[in-house]
Amino acid sequence: MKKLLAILLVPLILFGASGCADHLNSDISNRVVLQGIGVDYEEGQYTLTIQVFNLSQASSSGAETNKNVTTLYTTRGTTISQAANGIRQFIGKNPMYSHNRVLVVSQAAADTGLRDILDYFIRDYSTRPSIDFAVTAGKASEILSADFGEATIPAEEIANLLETQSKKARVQVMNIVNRYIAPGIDPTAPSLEVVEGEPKDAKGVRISGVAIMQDDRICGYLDSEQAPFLLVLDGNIKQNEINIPMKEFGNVGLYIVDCKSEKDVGLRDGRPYANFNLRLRFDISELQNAPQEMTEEKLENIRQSAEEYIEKTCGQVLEKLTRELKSDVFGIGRAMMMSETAYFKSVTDRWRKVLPMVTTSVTAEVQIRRSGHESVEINA
Amino acid sequence: MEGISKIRSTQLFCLLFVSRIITALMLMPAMERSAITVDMLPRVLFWDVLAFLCILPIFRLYDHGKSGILDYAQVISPAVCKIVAVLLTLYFLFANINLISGFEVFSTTVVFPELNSILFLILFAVVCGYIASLGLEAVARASSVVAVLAVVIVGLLLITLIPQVRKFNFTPLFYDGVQVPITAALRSIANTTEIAAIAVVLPHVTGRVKRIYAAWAGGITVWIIVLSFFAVGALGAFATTQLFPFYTLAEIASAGIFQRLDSVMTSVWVACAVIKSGFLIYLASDCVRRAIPKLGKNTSILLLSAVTVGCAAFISLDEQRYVQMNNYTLSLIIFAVIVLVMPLTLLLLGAIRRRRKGEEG
Amino acid sequence: MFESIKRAMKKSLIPEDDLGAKKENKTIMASLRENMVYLYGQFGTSSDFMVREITIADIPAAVVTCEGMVDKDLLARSVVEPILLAEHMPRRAGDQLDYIRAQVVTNVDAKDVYQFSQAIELLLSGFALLFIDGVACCEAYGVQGYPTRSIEDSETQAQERGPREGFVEAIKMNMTLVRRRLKTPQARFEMMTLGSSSNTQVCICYMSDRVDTAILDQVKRRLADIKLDIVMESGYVQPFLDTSVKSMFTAVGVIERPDSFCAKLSEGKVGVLVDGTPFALVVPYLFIENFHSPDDYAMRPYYAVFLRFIKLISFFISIFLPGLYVAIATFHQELLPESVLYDIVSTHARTPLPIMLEAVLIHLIYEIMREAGLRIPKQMGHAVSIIGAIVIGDAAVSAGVIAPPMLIIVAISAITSYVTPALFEPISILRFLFIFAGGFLGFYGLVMLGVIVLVNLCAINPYGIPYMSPISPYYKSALRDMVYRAGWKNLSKHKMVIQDFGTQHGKAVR
Repeated sequence: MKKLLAILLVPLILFGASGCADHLNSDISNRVVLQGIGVDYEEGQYTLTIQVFNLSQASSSGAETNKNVTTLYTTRGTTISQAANGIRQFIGKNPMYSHNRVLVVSQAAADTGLRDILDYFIRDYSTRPSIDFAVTAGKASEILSADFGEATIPAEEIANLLETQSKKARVQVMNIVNRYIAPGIDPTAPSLEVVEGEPKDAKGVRISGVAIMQDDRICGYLDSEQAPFLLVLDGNIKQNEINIPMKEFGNVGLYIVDCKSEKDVGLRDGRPYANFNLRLRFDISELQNAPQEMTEEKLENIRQSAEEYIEKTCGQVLEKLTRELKSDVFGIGRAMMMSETAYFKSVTDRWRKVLPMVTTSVTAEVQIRRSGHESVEINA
Repeated sequence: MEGISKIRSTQLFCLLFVSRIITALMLMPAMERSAITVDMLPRVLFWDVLAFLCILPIFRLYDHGKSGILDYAQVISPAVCKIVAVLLTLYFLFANINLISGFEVFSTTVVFPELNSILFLILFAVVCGYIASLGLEAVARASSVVAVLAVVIVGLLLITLIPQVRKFNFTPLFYDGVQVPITAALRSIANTTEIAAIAVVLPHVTGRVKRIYAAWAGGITVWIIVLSFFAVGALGAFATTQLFPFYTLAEIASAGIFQRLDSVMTSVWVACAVIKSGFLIYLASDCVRRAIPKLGKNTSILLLSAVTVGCAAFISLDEQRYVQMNNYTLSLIIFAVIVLVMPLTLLLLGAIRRRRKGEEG
Repeated sequence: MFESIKRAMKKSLIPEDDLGAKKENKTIMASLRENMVYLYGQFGTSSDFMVREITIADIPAAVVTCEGMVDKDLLARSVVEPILLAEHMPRRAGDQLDYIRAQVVTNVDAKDVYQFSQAIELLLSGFALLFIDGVACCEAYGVQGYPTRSIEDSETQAQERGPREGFVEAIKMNMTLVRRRLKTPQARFEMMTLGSSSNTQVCICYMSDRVDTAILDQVKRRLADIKLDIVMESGYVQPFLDTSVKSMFTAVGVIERPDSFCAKLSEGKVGVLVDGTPFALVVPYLFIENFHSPDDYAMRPYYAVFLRFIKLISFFISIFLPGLYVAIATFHQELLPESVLYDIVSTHARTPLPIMLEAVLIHLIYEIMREAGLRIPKQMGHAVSIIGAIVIGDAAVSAGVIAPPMLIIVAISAITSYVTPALFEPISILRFLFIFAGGFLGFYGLVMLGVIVLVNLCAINPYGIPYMSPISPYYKSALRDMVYRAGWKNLSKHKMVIQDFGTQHGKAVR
């Protein structure tokens, strides 16, 4: 009798514990795989542009690897969760957020406050906080619907674009949330724009700069010229190029091999200061007016010019961020918290007002590692 | 011959370690009104001191003829032993209900909300009841394997998080004051069921028990410090938005092409939770049979599992009930009674009894 | 004379179902006629019961054999002929037997038998019985000549390097194979008989200088308590020697190779040979030993360690992989990288069945085909492979009944299960259980079932030795032989015996 009861109990528990009806819905063929989400805001409602993996297109494409296998859906709602739920009305399947590669938020949506937008993505059990985050000055729907040519999954192309910029500087949803919650530091996010025929036949999107935030709202942008120097100040840039204009050599292309940044933050005569000490190593990638012979003196000249240029440009970027945009993207407040804890505690609530008064300076130490393969002009 | 209930001290270490691993991993700062910060370090050190103070009476009991708390109570009088046994049964039952309902909250909140809670609880209790029925030795041996796997898997997960650790996420020690880590340490000690477990299983352990206790406390300290380091360094203030921050660590972990390794972490949790729950049911069963000797082993396990399921289902269906059950004051009082008041009372009674015998002799 | 005996026997025929009469320990009588009546009564009309009447110096005698069990030529040369040609045969029956015993018969295997039960047992074991009228005992001569299989390599326990000898059905031959490898008087054989009808000979083998006497006594006691009617295979005896914990895993080793068998005996274990089967039993048998093979010790240590690692990995793959795939595809798709996910989603979208049912179906088909391949006559064996390859490998996938990834999973799972043939039975069942667990509860189910299996394994204590030694409980010194394989120079320093894995009490058995 006991054995019979046990035998009857087992399937009952198994079927019941699985929530049989829902068990079928969780089967992979009953899920829709989300690849990218764009958030816009119009007329008091959030508009989500959702890029999903199109199963039938993928099945029919077979061996073809250069066919776009995604479909775009647009849903609307007064909240993000309401808008996200709208996907079920189109497809009738449960959305799967685990493979969502990128979240793009438009300026208009970000103006309502990222805290409200991102709450869904950090609260819901199926979303993950480590998805790439980007903003756009225009419409997020345009970013996701941009023509990527032969890319099979456009959202993947966007994610790859964000990833290859700098792994350490990669911005994910949890980084944004972390920075707007934690006192003494503000978030940044890459800004995207659609490529429009420049250069000719170019497709897709590109990184146009960096969006600067105060807590969870965008307060300004750094363009593509200034953005690398933000990363230099943060010590988060590698395998990138900087061009330095020099009288002697015209434009000198320097390839960043290594970049370290140390902040020295403290109080001096009761006033806060923040000194950025940069150490960079470059390889010379291009000399417009290459000399016939590269001497030590010339190298030293290039090195010094690079130092001066970096100090000047980084200083300008720092000034813009701290005084003009009043955004503490470098975590000066956090550093102050560690070095001058009592002081920071006293100014935490008004750190935004104190920040512009922080005396900042940048010192750069540049080392040229290699001058390149060619040392003599070709047409000499 | 089979069903020998003696375990080695290293097996006890593994059993206690697994038990504490799951408690640490399931830490819910929001429930405690605390946060995962650098103050986890002083918190765990305070906990070490408190745990050491709490274990002293139990080791004192053990020094009298290598007996556990029940054996010592039996020597004083059978009635006292029954009272102690009943109290311990209720305590282990309470701890198990807490564990299982917490696990159910975890499962339905962050893993799979569509899960049928009642039947999941029944299944969980059935599994744990079966494990308990196989005896202490089996559970202890299995815990050795689970402990190693847990450390290896979690260790590998944490290694993948190294690139995500940021210096700015760390705050100065005692930034929010000394009170916070002390209160948190008291909360930690209140849910340290392992000390009461040591009191019961001591007679079944061979080897150097005190040394193993020290190794366990040290191991747990290291474990929590390492976990906290990564939680603080990788998540920072983001951890305050998460119900189970250590679970979120696994969510953001990635190894090459494999991302979102929370399922791997969940496996470790399930294994540790099952072992701990099985251990608690075994302890409760052992105690209740001291109170009611006629009760058979399997019958007691069945009854205790049923009670656990019923209570856990009642509690976990409403999140507020779960919060109330984890009331800090209530937990601390219960802990103090079981781990401090009871052993000290027994020691006192024992001393009185010895003096009377001395006077009579 | 014997016709009259047969008539007399019919009148007092003992019913065949009267087991009491068969078990009666009747002594041999002095009267030849009465002895023959009794024997004819026992064997009835069995046509292999042969009686050869002879006269020894005018005294009637009889040589009783079981046809097919004796070597007739040997019987004639070493027993009958010498008796018939003997000179100076005494006239008195009792003296005759002494004279025959001492000076006539050249067969070296001779024993006096006084009880019919023993006489019958010897008769059925290929002995020839000499009855002399007037002597209340008989002489049994070992003239076995029953057909036996020649010694061949083991088919079920193949090895790359090592002897090509396996046990056979004849217990005596198996004992010889063991004795050839353990040329020491410490290697002992104790015979007993099991099965009230089959009277199967069972031999307990051990090395007296290292066996744990408590284990030995337990084995003897358990075997003595067996109440079976017939014992056709060692598998009949195995459950009686096995653990009392209900588990899919057995704590009794089944060995077909004499070299492995002797190696186990040298570790202080107890072996049991059963007549009629080449599969010997060894107790106690630990879980880790399922991943050993005798040629581990013939190979270089680094390769032996590699092979053991392969076997361990294969075991886990064979039981976990299908369930893991089902769990991930059903509940934990987030673990799959995009490239793999898209392929799986695309292929499974075309199949009609849920992934779990697909996995169960294809595994069932595989098990059916495996069983068919085992039972089918060799001439038709190739048809099975063709059906397997075409039907399952090609047609089912092309028709969209099953998805290619599932087929790959099943194939890997099947191949890895062959790496550890000793664990084939539990692997086959556990695989299904893990598929169900993963399909219904995802990782929760897999882990819970995994923990149940782990605790179940840890609960097994065959003869007081923890089944999961030396992993849990952890015995560092045992690792060099049980988990990895240290070199012989290292191993020779301390001989590993089973008592090294005893409980903390230092004794193997309570």
